[in-house]
Amino acid sequence: VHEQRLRREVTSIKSLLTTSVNLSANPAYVIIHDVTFPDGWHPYKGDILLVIPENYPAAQPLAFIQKRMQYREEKVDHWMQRLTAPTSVPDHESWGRWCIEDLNWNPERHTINSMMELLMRSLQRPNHDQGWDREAG
Amino acid sequence: MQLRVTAEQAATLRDHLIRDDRRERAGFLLAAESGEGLVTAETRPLNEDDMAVTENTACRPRPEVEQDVLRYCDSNDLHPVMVHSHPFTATAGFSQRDDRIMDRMTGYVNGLYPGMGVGFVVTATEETVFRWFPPADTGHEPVDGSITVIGDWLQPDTGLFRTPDHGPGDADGLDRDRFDRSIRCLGEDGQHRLAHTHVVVAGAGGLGSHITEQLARIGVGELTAVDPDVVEPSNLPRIAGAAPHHVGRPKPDVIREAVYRANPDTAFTEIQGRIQDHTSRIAAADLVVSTIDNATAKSTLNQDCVRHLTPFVDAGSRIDTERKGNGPEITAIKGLMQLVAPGVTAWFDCYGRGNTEQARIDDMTGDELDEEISQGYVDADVADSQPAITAINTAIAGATLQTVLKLVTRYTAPSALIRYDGLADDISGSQTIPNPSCVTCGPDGVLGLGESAPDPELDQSFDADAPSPFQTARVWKHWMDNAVLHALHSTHD
Repeated sequence: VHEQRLRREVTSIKSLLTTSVNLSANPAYVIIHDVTFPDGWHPYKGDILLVIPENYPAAQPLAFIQKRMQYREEKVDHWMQRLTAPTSVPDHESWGRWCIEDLNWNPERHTINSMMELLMRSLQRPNHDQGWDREAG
Repeated sequence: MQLRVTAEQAATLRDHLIRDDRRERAGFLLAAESGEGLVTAETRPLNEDDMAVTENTACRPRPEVEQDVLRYCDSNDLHPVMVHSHPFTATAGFSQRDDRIMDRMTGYVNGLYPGMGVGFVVTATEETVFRWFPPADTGHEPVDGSITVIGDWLQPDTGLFRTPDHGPGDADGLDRDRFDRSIRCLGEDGQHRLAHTHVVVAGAGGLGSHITEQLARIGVGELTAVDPDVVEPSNLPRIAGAAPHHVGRPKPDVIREAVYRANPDTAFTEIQGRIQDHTSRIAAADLVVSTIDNATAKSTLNQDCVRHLTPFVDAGSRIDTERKGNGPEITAIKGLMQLVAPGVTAWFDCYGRGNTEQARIDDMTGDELDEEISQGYVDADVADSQPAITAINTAIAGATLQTVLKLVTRYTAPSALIRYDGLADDISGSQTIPNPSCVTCGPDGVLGLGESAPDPELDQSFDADAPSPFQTARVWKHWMDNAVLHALHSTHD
């Protein structure tokens, strides 16, 4: 992991979101606390976990949201939510993988920040492949 | 104490320090710890405005410039190495004036930053000397060190930045009978270099086992084999020295026997594990050879080698087949060997050609892979064993071995890329150029960062607003004391 770059990006996230951020070096992961989720989510604030690959930034981090998060009173219906965080992350079973579409990771363009932007966008329409949500979106 | 610099870094400093006007000039190398040595993270040539004194036989940076460098080193976990030139002489050495400057600078650095070491380099027109003053908190004495220029075959002038190589002594223990035929082409110096080289080989399968065994046979003095796997029956046709009774034993353990038979004088270390978990071995090695096919492991290993300025040779082969009639038809036999001299030659990251999809698949757990296959995101056959045959392995092993020989004995410049086409019987070599904005070896990458840690409490909750250690009263007191000391010394010079 390019720790120096990761640290720079986490500093940037922290100042942008004005929230607390936990950074672990080994295993490498970032927890962004109390992120305000888009409309429709309950509770309206939750944590986001980014698991940093060993060869970061050559590869894209994996994103997770807390399994307690509900969208329009229901559990999110996506197969990836069945995948939990790696066992090296504390309380790993409380996290479900989140699918960020349309991110063809390029380390020259993408950062933790740009990934968070895409993640927040994808949270606006979590079930976009289902008819009722397509109308809502 | 060994200090590694890339040929690019050495060229930057040499071009600045040695000029036709034959005046002394100065600069800094900012070095990170790497195993028991140092690697260069940055170079800082000092221009006229940065200097308090610039004469034909004397030069000294302004105190504020030195202090800026020290502050930067402190906040980035680096050590300053002050470099200046003696462009009027071929042989390098420290003068009495240099001794006084070293005493003064180490004095105030020791007081201000007890965890920071200081290096001093004098470079003349044909050689360079290096002295290292370890951090005060280690209690170690100053030592004369050596400088290794990585990738100097592409910029021959930078070879002069190396410290003098005194060659083998009379009692060097070289087995001249055993290596008689090698010495006839490589010379005693070449054979001596091999005997004093440590190569880490990641992967002990069909390719890595042959490379490791042959490296021992040609006289490499120290080898470390790293592989997490055990021998399976399907490995027996390809692993050098493997026999049926080895099935179930760790692959590096089996290689140990082959290495001993090839050359009992080779010091051998076996590690059953992942190379990513043994980065200290990378820092200690003169060269890393990778034969692993896991895309993430390969990418991580490259990153670690760039970080520690350790030359890295990646080798692999592939056989493509199609089903035809009752059996397979071979459609391609490809081999690739890539030499990464950090900062001097390129890696896939330089061109954004890393195999991210394969890396993603390699990183999945069994459950994740099953889920992705069932969802149709990944082809069902990704986990199948790939075709392999030892003839291709040994061909690529030969090309890799020759590259190592060229690197170590320097009989000619190695290719940075060798392509092998087993169907056309074609082998070709070429050079590569790194991408200046590469995320791994470019200015924002990890080149020469060694073990520098930006935040010693990275495992704790991160608070970007916390005061830096430099802002504490204790450090300020030392800083003021030494600034005064520095000023007093300066007036007497």
